[in-house]
Amino acid sequence: MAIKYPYKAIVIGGSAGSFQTILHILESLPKQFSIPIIITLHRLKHVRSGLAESVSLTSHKPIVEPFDKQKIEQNTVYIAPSNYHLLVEDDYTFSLSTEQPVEFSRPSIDVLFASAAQVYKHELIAILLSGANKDGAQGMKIIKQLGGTLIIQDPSEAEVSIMPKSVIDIVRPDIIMETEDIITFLKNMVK
Amino acid sequence: MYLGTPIYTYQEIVELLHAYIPDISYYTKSFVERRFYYVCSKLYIPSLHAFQEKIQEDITFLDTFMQHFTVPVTEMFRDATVWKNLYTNILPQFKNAKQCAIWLPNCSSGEELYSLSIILKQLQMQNNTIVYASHRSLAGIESIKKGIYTEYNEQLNTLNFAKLQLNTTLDTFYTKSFHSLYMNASLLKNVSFMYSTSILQQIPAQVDIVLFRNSLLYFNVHMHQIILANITKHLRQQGYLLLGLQDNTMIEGLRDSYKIENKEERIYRKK
Repeated sequence: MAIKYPYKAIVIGGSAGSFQTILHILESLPKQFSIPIIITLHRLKHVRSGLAESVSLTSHKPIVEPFDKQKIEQNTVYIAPSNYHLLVEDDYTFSLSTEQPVEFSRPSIDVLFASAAQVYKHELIAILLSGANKDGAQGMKIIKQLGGTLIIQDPSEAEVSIMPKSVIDIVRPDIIMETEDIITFLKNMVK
Repeated sequence: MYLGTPIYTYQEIVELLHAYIPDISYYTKSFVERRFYYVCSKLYIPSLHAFQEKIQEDITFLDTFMQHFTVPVTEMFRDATVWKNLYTNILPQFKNAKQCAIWLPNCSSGEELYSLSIILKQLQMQNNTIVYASHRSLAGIESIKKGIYTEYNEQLNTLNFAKLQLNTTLDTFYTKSFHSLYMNASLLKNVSFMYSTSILQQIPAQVDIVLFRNSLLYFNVHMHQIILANITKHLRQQGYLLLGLQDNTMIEGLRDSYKIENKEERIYRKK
């Protein structure tokens, strides 16, 4: 089944209160949803792994914490490894970085979003979920400037609304919706 | 970190830097772009023209630039299980050796060096160990020698160190004053600093252990093989190579020259 829209990648960011939402989105996506999904989720620094495993249990797709210079494949969900920034490169590979935290965060959502924006431009969808700081807002702004589509979780539904609200402060999101609607939106992309 | 759309093209930046940093093209394009903007904003350099002027009138500027261009480590005992492995399994093998040589090809901000020095001291191996610490900047070397770190990461460092279970606390290795941690100077007594102008540097010895974690992240994938070959050349047979946990796993030459000692911790042993 072909993708109706010309999107080449989806980036998702979230922090406090977003983990269950991400699990729910991933488990709800049909198997034939082939667009790569790249996630940066704030997580505890000293907890090295386990996130990919726990997400894998509920998703139809392979969940990968990419190594540096690993190629981005269809049908795969990628999650930024603990304590590294995750970036997208021009040649559709990942690179990782131990550069300073951005907005007190490493991995930082801004870093992923800004790098993905430069590569995918209008072919990118960004989704920002619940969270307690403003990491992600700057990245959303850059995605918008380069033609990408912005979706934020409805702040009234988000467990912690600071993160989605901080986007609205600096850029106009294309769509503000609740989790179930985000899922329907994504499902409709492959119908 | 600089996140916006680049102001100058990569070509413009590299053309400017190439005269001063001959191996600039070894680094990835995206790293050069964001790091260049990051360092320029840190050093109040508003344009390429200002950079050029500054570098021509101030002979220390290039060195300062390289100090900041190098990515700092930001914490001690990062990935504590790796350090535990080094402490428990690898270093004790050299405890009775006449000499054990260790090389850090990219010493950056010194946290890896101090972490290593602390466990060497705990193992009472400072007298039979020599540590070669390579750095791209003389100011960077001086800063590491001073051993002053902000208290910002103290809690994290302490937490990491506690996981090693060494019957001592990290604060026995530094003095705290005015929100700064002053590392004990005796920790570096067996360290030999090496100033180098390229990542493909030479050191005057064959070594037993190379600590090269998270440094390849910033280099082009085709350079990985060349950088690894240079390191391999300096490593003794059966010597250990420690890479970063998420470093490229597909480096050409890695499988041919090394066997995996510990997959999870990215510890390799030269064949």
